[in-house]
Amino acid sequence: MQLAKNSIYSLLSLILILVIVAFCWISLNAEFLAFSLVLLYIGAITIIFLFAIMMSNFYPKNNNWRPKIDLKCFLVGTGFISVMSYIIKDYNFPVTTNITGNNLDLLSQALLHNYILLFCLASMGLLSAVIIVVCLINKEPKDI
Amino acid sequence: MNLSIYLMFSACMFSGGILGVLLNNRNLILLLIYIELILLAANTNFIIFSKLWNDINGQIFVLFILTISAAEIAVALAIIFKLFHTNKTININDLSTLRQ
Amino acid sequence: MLDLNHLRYLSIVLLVSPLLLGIVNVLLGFFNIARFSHNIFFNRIISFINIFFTSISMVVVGYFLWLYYYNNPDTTSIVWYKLASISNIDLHFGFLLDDLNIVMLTIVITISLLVNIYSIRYMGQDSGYIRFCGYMSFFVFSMLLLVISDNLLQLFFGWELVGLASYLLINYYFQKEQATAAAFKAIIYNRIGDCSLILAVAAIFNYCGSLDYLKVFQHLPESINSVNVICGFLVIAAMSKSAQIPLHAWLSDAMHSPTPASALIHSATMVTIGVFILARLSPILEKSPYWLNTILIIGSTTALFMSILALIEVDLKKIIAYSTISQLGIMMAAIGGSAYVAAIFHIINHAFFKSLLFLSVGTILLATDQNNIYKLPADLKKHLPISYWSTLIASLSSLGLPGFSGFFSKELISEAITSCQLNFSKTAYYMLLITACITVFYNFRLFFLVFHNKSQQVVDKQKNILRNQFKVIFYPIIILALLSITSGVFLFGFVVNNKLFSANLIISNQQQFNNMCQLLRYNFFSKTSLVVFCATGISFVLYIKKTNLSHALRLQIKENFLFFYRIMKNQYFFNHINKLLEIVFKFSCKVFYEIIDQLLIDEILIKNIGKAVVSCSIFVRKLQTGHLDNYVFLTITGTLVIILWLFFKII
Repeated sequence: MQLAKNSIYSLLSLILILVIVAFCWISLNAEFLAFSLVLLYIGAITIIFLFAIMMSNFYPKNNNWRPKIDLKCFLVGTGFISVMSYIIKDYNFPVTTNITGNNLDLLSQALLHNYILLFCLASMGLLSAVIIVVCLINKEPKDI
Repeated sequence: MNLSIYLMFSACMFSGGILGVLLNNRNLILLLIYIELILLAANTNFIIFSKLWNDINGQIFVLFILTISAAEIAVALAIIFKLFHTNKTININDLSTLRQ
Repeated sequence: MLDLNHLRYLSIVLLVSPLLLGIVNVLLGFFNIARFSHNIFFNRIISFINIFFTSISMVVVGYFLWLYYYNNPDTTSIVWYKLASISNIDLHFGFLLDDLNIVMLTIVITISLLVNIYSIRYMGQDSGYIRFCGYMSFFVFSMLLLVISDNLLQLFFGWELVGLASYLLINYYFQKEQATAAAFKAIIYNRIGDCSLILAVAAIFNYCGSLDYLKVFQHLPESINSVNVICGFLVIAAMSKSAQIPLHAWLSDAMHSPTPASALIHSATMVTIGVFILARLSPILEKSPYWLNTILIIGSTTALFMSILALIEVDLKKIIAYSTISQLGIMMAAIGGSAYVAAIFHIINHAFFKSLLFLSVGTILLATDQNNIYKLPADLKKHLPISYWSTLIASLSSLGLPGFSGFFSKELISEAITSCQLNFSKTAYYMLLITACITVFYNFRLFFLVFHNKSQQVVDKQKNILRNQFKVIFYPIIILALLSITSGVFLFGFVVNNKLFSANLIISNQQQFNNMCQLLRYNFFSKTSLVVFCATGISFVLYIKKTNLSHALRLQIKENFLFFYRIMKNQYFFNHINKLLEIVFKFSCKVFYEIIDQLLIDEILIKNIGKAVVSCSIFVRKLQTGHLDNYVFLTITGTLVIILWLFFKII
């Protein structure tokens, strides 16, 4: 829901949330992933969003915008949160294990020993995404 | 230490993202932002459970989700870009050509 | 011991020859009816074939009679054709040779041969003679199938086929609308009996475990309820075929059939199969005193009331029809009094004198072409002497004058009813006594009004065409007259010594029966015969003597009893009851069709189902708006629903 008039404000709140979540991940002993979150999401994806919003010429003021208030949507949302909290509230998840080694070592060992194939496939996926994007936004050159 | 609070936090982020998707009447890019929020909540969940069970596979999966979501956003933005050029608007209410 | 194969082939010949005859006749009728129907030569050929095949059957029957009574009579059962075998039950067509079957067989074949000879002249000029011969042969075939059967399934087949043959013969003059209506009525009444018979057969199969007579008699059911059930259905079946009250109304209308057909079917053979089936299954019937009592009541009531109706009837053949129903009532009363032997004896005697009466009246009809008894021409005695004497003999036998055949059987029945132990026996005896009295009245009424009526008009001599032409019509009449005089005396000896039907019929009160027979032998003057003599005298006065006294007497009677007269004229309003039933039936059918089918099912259910489906589809169509918003909402809501479902199912 947009409580903000401008969509840039929403984007900035997203950045805030990403930072908070990064801190959260650090406290869960996933330092490398927190670092990569900051780098990738805040560093690249939010920049892309910014460029997209700017290029769609949408930041001129629109004063006649009202937030949408719809009962059924609220119900669905509260449905989700209530189901999940119903599951979580009675459970205790204590952590009693020791961590052997830092996050980067563990990750890299697992990734490059067991999941080497998926690693390559993921890189293929990224490559294909790049090619698709380039094809999509390619304009036919006009004859002058 | 109790991990329920982290799970609650992830649940709130998830339902916040759902509500945003439903109550969105600005534009499509905001839709994508909320989808990112949902994915973030799912990632957090994976991290929590990998810490709970001392299993590194959860974090591997988080890595892959990060990768794929980045690719997906790029492609989605490219499509929206094209849409904007044909329709000159990205307001959700005006995009109703799915039905004549 | 009789040679079984030998018998098997002969019995097949016996049965198949009328069947073949029927088929041949019908086929010939199909192909040749228009061209040859009025050709006398063709008709003579048909007659010859007819008589030839019937004589073959007659010869075979004579041979069986000789075999059976010359050797030691022993019940033999031969299987012709196995139909099916279900677990331990065999369904087959078979032939049982024992006392009762032999007797019925003889009667059927004799009367059918005589009637066929008679119908050479009677129906010979008719354009549908081939059809008539075909139907008659078909009737003889089905009657034989029924009578010589050794199991209940074949009996049922024969029963149904006999009903069909009766319909075909009543409907012979199908151009007359009354004949068609009468045939339809006969079928409806017989149908009630058919339904009841199949229920009885099913009940016997259920309780006794088999359909063969011999096996059924060995495994009779023990409980009184099952016996009552079986007997109830049997009695209803017998009532419909033998025209007892309340299922009697078809027999008087069945007189629209040609006279030889009436002589064969509605006097001698078909209507007696009700009595025959009750006698055949007498071991079962004996166990149920309730139903014996009921049969006694029904039989005596029928005898009394139908004889009253014969007193005021004006149609010649209908008088004889009512007389037949009355005699059938007497036979049923005999069955009710457990005197099965007496009932079968009366069947034999009745067959002879009733068909004799029909055939004589037939000659009168042929000569004068007049149905109404009051409009017959005068001097019939002079022109048709043989008819005169044969009608006299038949009437005297019918009313039971001592010495003639009817006397022996009726006396036997009356005495048997007196000595039986049922509740109704005294009342039944007096009812039969009154019936005997009234029988005298209507028989003499018929005789005197036809031949001795002083108010008849004299007609020209050219009308009487029977005098100098074919004498062949009189041969059967003469034979039957002789038989009806002598059969009583001749067979009485057998009955008394229990040589007739000793094997499979039960005679209760054996000692009393023997005493009674000895008594009758030497005593012609019992209560009944006294009544008969008195009534004869009174009827002379009423009908012959044209004094002022008799005329005044008749007028007086008519005035006093006008109310009863009207009831009798309407045949006790049974036809009105039928109309009422028809209206009720039509109304209920209308209710079913209009309200339930048209209104309820067509309008309300089917159309509304269509409307419901259409409105569902209109509602679902509104989901597809084309807005992305709505689709997103639907997706997420669907996810939530699936999560909830899984969640609540798993936990």
